Amino acid sequence: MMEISPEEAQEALEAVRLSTAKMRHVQMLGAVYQVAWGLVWFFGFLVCQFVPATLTGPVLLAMLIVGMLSSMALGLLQGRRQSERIRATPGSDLANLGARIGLFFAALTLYSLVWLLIAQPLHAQQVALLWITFVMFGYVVTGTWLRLKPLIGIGVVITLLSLPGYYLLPQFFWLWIAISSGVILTGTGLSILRR
Amino acid sequence: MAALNEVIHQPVRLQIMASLAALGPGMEVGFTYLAQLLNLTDGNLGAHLRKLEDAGYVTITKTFVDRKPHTYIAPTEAGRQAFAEHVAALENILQQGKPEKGKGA
Repeated sequence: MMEISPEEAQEALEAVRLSTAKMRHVQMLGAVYQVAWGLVWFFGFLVCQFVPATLTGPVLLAMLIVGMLSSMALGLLQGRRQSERIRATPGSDLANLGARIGLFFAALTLYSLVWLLIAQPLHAQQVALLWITFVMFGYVVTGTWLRLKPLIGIGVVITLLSLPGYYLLPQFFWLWIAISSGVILTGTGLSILRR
Repeated sequence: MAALNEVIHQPVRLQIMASLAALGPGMEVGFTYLAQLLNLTDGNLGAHLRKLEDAGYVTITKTFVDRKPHTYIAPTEAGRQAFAEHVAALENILQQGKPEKGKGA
């Protein structure tokens, strides 16, 4: 039977801790997308607070384009490399779940566009609130599927925080959601990346 | 009581198992990236992985991505369990080695 000293045990546990931390960090690189969208929301909504109301629609559209281009750029930068680093085992429950989550978000995007059309006329604040709540609904569903409580927490907290800005502080609505959604999304994304 | 595992205790294999155990269920890591992460040569990593595979602690999958050969490594359930028991044994040794509370130095 093997016997080692407490000092050797401590060294071994330290090696375990370091290797574990490195691998966990690699798996959290998806959080860069959250940081990118958090920054788009923060700066975009902040701009909406200070531009004339007629320009908020074009600003929202610009935010959507910038966010999508950022996601595509990040995907191209790290997508192939990331799949060479770690991947879901083909045919595993996780791989199947990943495909389902992708389909869910595609459906959510299409349905949200349909509902945006049905609900017209909408003013820019309502469009922004719908955008935030749709994305956060996606967080809650994904968190539930993956059993990731932090995702559910982010979805619920940002949704609940965005509502008082709309109903109670309409004159500061954009500033309110820039902070409540943009800062929380960016901050939690950065904290995941730093772990 | 958990016992130390001789296959896993070797320092390189301990790092390999720690990295693999940190993977989420259903995930696997690329061979090249694991070698890079642990600062090992391909030959060294390959040799240790063979021992872990022989023990039934890892699975090695060879595949093609964009017509290039890629090898992916994943821990088995037995590997995860053996690693967890090994870590528990290490923690136990560390606890037993600490001076008991209430006793003077």
